[in-house]
Parts: sequence; structure tokens; C-alpha cells
Amino acid sequence: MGTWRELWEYRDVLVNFIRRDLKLRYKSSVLGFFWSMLLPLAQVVTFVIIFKYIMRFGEKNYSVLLMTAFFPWMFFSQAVLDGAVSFAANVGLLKRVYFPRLILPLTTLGSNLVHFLFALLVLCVYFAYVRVTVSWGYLPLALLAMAVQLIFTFGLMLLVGSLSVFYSDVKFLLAAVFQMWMFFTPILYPASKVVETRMFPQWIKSAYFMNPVAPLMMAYRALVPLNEPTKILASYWQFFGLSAIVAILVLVVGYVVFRRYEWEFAVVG
Amino acid sequence: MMAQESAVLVEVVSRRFVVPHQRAYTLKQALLGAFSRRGRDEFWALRDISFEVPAGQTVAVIGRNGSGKSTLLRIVAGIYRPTAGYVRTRGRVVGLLELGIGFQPDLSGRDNIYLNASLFGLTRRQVSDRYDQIVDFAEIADFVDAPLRTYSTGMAARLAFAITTQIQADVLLVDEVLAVGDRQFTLKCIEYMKKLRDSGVSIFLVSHDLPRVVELCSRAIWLDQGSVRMDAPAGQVVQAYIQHYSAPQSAG
Repeated sequence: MGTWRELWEYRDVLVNFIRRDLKLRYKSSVLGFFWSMLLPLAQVVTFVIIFKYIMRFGEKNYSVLLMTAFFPWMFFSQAVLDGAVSFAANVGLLKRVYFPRLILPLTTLGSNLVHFLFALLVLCVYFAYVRVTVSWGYLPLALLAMAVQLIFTFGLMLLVGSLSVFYSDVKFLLAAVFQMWMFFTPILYPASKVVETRMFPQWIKSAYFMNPVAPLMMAYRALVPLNEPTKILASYWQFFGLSAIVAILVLVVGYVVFRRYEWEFAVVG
Repeated sequence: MMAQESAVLVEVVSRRFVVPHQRAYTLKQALLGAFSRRGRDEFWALRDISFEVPAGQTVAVIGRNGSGKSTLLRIVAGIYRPTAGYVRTRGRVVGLLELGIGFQPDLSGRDNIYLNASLFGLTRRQVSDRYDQIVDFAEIADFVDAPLRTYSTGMAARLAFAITTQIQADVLLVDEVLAVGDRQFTLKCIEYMKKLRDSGVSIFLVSHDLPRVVELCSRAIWLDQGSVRMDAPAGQVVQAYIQHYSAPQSAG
């Protein structure tokens, strides 16, 4: 299809845009990268203090449990929140020059992915420091989960990015949704807590795991033993399949909506 | 290739714009208004425009503000889609609607060169090959690593223009923005376009500067309220245009 060939022809624009985003984010310095990590690390420290020492969670290695899910979540939420303005914030550019519009969300996804990979390095250093053993057998599952996450992320970005050109309140709505979404995803606590609790009937538990992000976080956590009882993962594996289906559906819907409205982006602003 | 190959073909192109009364919509308004089309106006910026630009020809589009010139340019550049009709172009089409597109004040001159040039279709390699020329032409050799925000307005404008001189195009679409700036700068731009014209690039120029139109272009298209009013050699069109608007009965 012509779309993909055209994207390939404009790859230099994409690469330059990603470099621009990263340079602006890090202010062209190594120290800048650590500044950009300050907020997530401060959040991690806060959660550790609250849940480990104040709430007495009693999980072994709580900080590891938290970070294995929190970093991928940050990547997901930041990419989608940035994606919500990837067209709206660039209407001036879209009005003045032609390039495939897909370049803009791809830029946002790409720069957030690179940032996530840098953050993973920090994570690895920390894990080495606290001597975490890694179950490498789960690496393929974790990589598969990351592929699903990328599909889901990009689909949502296309959807909310297209809509927020026309509806200025989408990004505010999103910020609230993502705040709640984080707490209803196994990030601050292990999924086993939800399975074991007697407060919820079974259908609420099932609904909880239908959250397409939940199985992904469990897959990442499977990399670190003791983190997430793999028993639970095994009995909820069908939700992983559901997550993949939802991700693909969202990508299709997002792409269709994007295609439907892409020629209006430069007109509306 | 045949000599009569057209660089730009515009076939019965029309463009409608829908203008909401309110600038920013909210989801609530969208839901409430889902069943009615009230609160919206539409107008036709272009109606049934057809013309053909043979390769190597230099064509000006003239007309008053709101006559549809910029819309037409954007449609040929691929920024807008026509509501009806179609546009065919041959070769590499580059739109020059503004200088310094995508310039980022916090990035260095060097980064901005690569960024801006890639938006004009130059590959990374092509920019590297032309990099020294750009820097020399812009006379910013000592400042390439400084952030663009530290540049004077003149330096930034020189840099923006230096990049555009390296554009590789078969069809160049130029908006009147190029004519802003001081006299010397304007002359430099004219010089540059003449050079392109003489090297066989098709130029599609939107301009208010009627003497320049006659000087640069062999042909002019006069747009009036979205329709082609006249399409003839530039001298004739400009003369008719001036006559039309200097006649008192057609003022306004």
C-alpha cells in the first residue's frame, strides 16, 4: 500500500522529530535524563514508604514488585497522554507543510519508547544492586506482552489524538481516566490480592482482569519470581488473549477514526 | 520524457469549508448537537477550478484576500484535500508556505537545519552534503551549536532561507510569505526563484506583488471568489486585474 511506502520515504522526518523530542526532554545532557526520571522515582519512593512501611503490605521486595509494573505503566500512560495532543499541538505545522500525518503519533510513541528503554536501564541497575533473580523463561511472555502493549498504546493514541483535535476536553478526561486506571490495575499491589480477597464476588474479579493492561503487568512481573505467584497467572492466562484481541481492535478502530478525520486536522485549528 | 508533460494538473477542484460558530467544541456540545447540523456555516473557497501547468512553467496566482489562493496552494501541496475534483502532480512537489517551518528555539542551529530540511524532503545524507553550504550562506558558522533562540531575527531568517536554497524540487509552491522582510532579502528571494525557473523547475507562486508577478512568471491565474476569472499570459492578467480594481464601480 502507498501509505507504507510514503512513510518510509519520510523516515528522516520521523527520526528528526524523535531526536528533537528527546533532546528537548533531556535538554541535550545526561543530567537532563536523570531530571526526567525524577518524578517517577519520587513516586516510586513515595509508594514504597506508604505501602511497605505505613500500610505494612508485607510483600517481599515490594519496590521490585512495584517497579516491574510501574515503569511499563508510565510508558503506557505518558505515551497516550502525549498522543492526545500529538495532532492538536501541531496544527500549525500541519497547516504549513505536508508529511504523512501518522508521523506525529509515531514520533510520540518512538520518543516515549526510547525514554522507556533508558528507564529500563536504571531499573536493571537497581535490580542488580538488590540482587533480584530473573526467571528468564518468562522473557518471551514479557516480550509478547510488550508487543501487545505497543499495539494497544498506538491504537489509543490514534483514537484520542484524532478526537482531541475536535474536542478540547478529551485530554482532561483522559488525565482523570488514567489516574483511576492505574489504581485498578495490578501495579501498586500484586494481582493475587484481588484474587484472594473475599470482598469481591467472582464476577467483579473477572471484570477486574478484563482490563487489557492487567494481564500485561502480570506478564512483566512473572519475570521476577516471588513477585506474582505464577499459579495466578496460569489460571488467568485467557485474559492475556482477551487483552491481545482488545489491543488489536482498538488499533483498528483508532486507525479507522484517524483515517476518517486526518484531512480535517489542518483545517480545524 | 515528452515536453508537454504537465507538472501540475488540477481537474474541476472544489473545496468546501464547514465553519462551526464556536471555535472549540466540547464532548457535551457534540453529544447534544449530534442530531442537528445547526450552529454551522459552510462556504465554498474554491469552485470548479481547472488548469494545467506544463513542466518548467512559472505560474502566478493572484486575487484579493479570501479569493481562495492559499486554499488552492494548500490543495496542490497536499495539505488540504479537495471536496470534489482531483489534483495530479509529477515529480517532487515541495511547498514553501513559510520559512523556518518546524524551527525549535531550544535546539541548536545544526539540529534545526536537519529538522527543517527533512520537512522539505531532503534526506539526512543530502543535508550532510549541503551542510557547509547552508552554514556559509547563512553566515552563522560560529553559532551552529548555539540554541536558535540566541540568534538575532536576521540570523534566523538567513538560516531559514539558506536551507530553502538547497531544496530539490520539480515543482515548487511558493506563498507570498517569501516577499516579507527587508528589501535586500526580497531581492535575494527573487534572484533565487529566477535561478530555479531558469533551471527548469515549475514554480507556482501566490503573490500580491504584481510587478514581480510580471517579472517572474510567464502566466497568471486570477482567482475571484473561488473561481478562475482569467488565465492568460502574466502581463495581460495583471493589466486586467489592475484595471478592474481601479474602476470605481467595482470597489469593495
